[in-house]
Amino acid sequence: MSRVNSNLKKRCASAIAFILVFGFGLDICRLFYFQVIKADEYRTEAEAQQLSDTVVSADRGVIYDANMNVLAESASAWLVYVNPSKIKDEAQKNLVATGLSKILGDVTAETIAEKISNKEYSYVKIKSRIEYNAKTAISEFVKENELYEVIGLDPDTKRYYPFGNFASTVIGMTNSDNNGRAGLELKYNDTLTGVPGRIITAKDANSGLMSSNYETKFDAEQGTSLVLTIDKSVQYYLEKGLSQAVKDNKAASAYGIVMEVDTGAVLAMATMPDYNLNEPSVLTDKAILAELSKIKDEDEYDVAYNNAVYLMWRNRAISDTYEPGSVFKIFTAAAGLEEGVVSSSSTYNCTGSIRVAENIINCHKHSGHGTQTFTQGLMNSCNPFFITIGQELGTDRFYKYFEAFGFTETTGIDLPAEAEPAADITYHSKDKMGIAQLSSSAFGQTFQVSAVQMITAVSAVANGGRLMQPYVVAKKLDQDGNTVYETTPTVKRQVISENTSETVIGMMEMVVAEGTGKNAYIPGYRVAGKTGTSEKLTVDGQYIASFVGCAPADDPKIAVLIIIDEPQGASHGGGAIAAPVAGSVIEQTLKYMNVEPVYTDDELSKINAVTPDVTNVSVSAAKNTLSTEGFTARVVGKGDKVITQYPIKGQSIPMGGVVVLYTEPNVKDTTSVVPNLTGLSISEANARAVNAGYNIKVSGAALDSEVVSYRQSVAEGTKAELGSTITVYFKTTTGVQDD
Amino acid sequence: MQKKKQVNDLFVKNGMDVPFFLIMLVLMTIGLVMLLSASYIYAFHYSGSGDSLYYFKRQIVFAVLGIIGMLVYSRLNYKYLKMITNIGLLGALVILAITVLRGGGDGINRWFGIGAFSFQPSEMAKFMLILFCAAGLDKNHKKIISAEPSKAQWAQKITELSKGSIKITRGTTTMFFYALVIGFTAGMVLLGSHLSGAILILLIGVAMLWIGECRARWFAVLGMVVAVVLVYVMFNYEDLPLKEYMIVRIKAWRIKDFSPDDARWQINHSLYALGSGGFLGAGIGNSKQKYLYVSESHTDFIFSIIGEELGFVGCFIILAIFICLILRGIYIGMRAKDRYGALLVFGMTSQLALQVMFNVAVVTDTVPNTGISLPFFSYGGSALLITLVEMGTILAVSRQADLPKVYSIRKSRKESK
Repeated sequence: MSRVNSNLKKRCASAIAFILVFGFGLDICRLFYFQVIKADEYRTEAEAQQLSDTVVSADRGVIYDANMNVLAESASAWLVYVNPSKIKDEAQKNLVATGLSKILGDVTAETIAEKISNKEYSYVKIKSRIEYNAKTAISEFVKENELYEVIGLDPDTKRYYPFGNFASTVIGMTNSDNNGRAGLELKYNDTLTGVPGRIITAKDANSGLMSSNYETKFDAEQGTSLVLTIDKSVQYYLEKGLSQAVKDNKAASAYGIVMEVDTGAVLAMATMPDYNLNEPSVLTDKAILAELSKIKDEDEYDVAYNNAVYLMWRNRAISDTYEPGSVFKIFTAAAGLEEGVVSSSSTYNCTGSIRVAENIINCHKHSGHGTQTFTQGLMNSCNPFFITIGQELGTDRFYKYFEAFGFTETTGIDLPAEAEPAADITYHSKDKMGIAQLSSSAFGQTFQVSAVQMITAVSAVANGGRLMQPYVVAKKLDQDGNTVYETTPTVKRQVISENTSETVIGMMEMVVAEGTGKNAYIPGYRVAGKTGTSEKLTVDGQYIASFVGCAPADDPKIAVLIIIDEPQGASHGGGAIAAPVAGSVIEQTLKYMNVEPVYTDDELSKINAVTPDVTNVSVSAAKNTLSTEGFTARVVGKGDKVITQYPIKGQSIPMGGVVVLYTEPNVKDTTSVVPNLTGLSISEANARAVNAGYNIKVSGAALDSEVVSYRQSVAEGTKAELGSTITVYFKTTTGVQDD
Repeated sequence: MQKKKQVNDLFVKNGMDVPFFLIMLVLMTIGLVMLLSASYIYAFHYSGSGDSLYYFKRQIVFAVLGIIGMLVYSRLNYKYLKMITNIGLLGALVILAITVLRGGGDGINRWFGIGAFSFQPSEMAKFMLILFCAAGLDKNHKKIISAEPSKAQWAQKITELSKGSIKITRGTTTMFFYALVIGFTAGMVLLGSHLSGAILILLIGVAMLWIGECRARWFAVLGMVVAVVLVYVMFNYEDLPLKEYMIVRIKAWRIKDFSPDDARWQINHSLYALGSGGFLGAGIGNSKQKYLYVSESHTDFIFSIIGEELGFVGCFIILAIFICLILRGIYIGMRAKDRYGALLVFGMTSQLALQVMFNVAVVTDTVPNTGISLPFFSYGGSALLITLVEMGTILAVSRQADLPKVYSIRKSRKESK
């Protein structure tokens, strides 16, 4: 019944067909293009804008000493950022800048204002590694001023070094990005660095969060931890010795290494002065600061300051080279013995000088040592003797051992910035080693080595001839504490035979017992060693004093190298100033390692005894008991019965020491004034101390009759309780000259 | 006699076309659900009320009231619409003029407010123009298809001057009259800085003229002219005396990485949304782009959020439902009682089809970005009401159309009578 004509129908159908085919058809094609063909491309673009990817920094691995004491660890910290796009106006910007600057302290308000002035940014990091207090303060500040959208805090981690300066040049530190900057932190950066976690959150176009439904979390994985061969106690002994040496000798620096000879494991390594790992960029050395304060120009000052900081970070035991001087005679001796050009009983007549090619080389003892055995030659550190041995070996054989002991290569220790030996620069190459070079090299001059090379070579001499690769990291632990790697000692090569090793150590023991190394002598322990003194090539009139020792001589366990750089005291000889330090480090270390001391009778007479209990007996009975046990009594008060004694029973004091007997209760003043105990022999010092009511503890070369005390643990003139023990340090001044 | 009386009444009691109504309800339902999904984030941040359901609630009120109103309106005997045709178009033009004069700046003069109620006059003009064209083209159908020379003096003069080589028929003069009205209306809308509205009105007008059986050769000429103009504009838009924002939008469409003041922000994020949706979509409610990335995600760009959540499949289905509605509309038109009814239905239907087509074309970066809402989906009370009035008109025609009774609601009642 339609009244609509067919023309209209045709027009209508064609119009709609046109719209549907061209319009809707095109729309559907376009949708297909964007939603199916190009979907991934556009989805990626979308996600790039929607997703905010926050990196959660992973905790760095912990650094432990050999006994699992924590030397470096990461702890929670925060980083503060500002979202400039949410800052309303200039006033708010200034509020944020001044507020944060006040809390953070070391960032100026101007710097912050500058940073946050671009409103296009939504995340501007202001400072990382903020500690808890600052974080709390910032939270308060945000709350007070309702800056929730403007200021934010993200989790971060910070490196803490619980012992501050301890082993600083070995451990090193991280930079603000938590990357290793020096030391082990640098060398093992990849190992220590964990896998950072990520939080991927969806954000809306205004950087607000969408909802946690879209959050994906990847947990951060803690870095691998390191267990060092460094032993906290041994390190402490070494550091204490070195810092005392710097002080005593007003030296520029002192550094040293303690090594386990059999494995090459470094038990301790230190450079003094050191620095605080928690504040690595702060100069603490007063002398350097005083020097710097003379610079007026600000930029120049900054440069000088930074250079001084870098110098402070330097691990001299690894990176510095020095002329080894007489210490090197150990290796010339070993080579000569191994090659059979000399035996320990060979003799040589030192006239005080020797002619080498055109030149006359003097022995340090100008009058000459006369006829001496090889052992005596080493004890005397006789230069002509060793020149002769070098010459008898000849360049080929000498160089063979020079190379075999590792002086032409890096040791490969797992620490950064090891000094790289350079042929014809730091040492004479075989081709260029003429008679003059050979002769000077034979007694340790005209070439340079690093401390780590030296102690590794000495360890080889001590351990039966095996040159080890030194190492600092013993183990690596995963985050659950499982060992994932354990260092196995690496023998690089056999340098000399067991026999030669024993012979050289025997000769070195004589150096300490009776020769130039006397100051390293320790009662009860057999110490082998060699002293060295060399003039610095870079600075006129300055010396490097060194001593290398190993103990116990019958079965060496540890080697100790002490180097004192530019000593300014009365003596600059290795035997005079480095040997006592080495001796004290060796003594403490061996005791710590539970190596039982074996005393000779002579030593026994000088060692300590344990005080008996003499309280609650009559004064005369007490005196009797004390004298029979070898102690001196000093009575205070008029009573006839001993009420208290000092030292109390069971204390170890030297034989002949004083025990103070108090016969009255409530004695008001039990103190007295400490006398000067320096510049005396052991017996003189003991007598003076006992006389004044004190006991002494002898430290240093106790066997030698010629020792003189040079330091006392309680200063002269101070008040100290009667009967207390004062450590007195002795050293010998004669017969230790070695250059 | 009984039937005739019914028809002459102001209201018609015949049943409406149920399939058309149902398809429309389906679209509205999907539209409301998608509006909720697309608008709640924007509503929370920017509606000022903090109410995530702000837009949804308002839209649902308009929808419910609108459908009730539409059903009542659809009972109107559509022949009475002729009575308001002239006054209606005139009124729409006056409102347009007032809006333009009152406005002044760009953008803000697209809306006309009466009290709390505001609407886009261009929407009203569109509707009134369809009524006007339908009535006129029906009344003057004979003139339009006439090949006789025009009696108009100016036409005869031209024939005279050209010495008979140009013969202007009555059809031509009639067509030009309507073309003039259409052009004038579009021009008024364009003055209101509503380019898309003007283009839409032109296209609806052209469609009406086409359906009104104007001579096909004019459309061929028009098609060629339009093509030339479009190509010219595409390459010379920067030199044309267009408004600044128009040039920027054309430029943003032509140059895909053009970005002063993020001219492509909206369209790029629309494409990101579509791409993120992929073939199957992220699932309803799961759009991320609606988190303030796609601006106007609840109005003109709602389809990009639909694309992200429902994927290509969902988009295709929605467009297919639209096509069903359009085809059903055409079916109603073809079976309309009279030419006027048919023209009304065709006008309304093509209006809807063009709007849907253009909206999706904008969202897919097929044409320059311009503000065209998606019927039944985009938020906007007045737009929804106009759409429902248009649908109501189609339903009104359907009540008197020659449709198979099987679809009629009144079927059972009639049988029982």
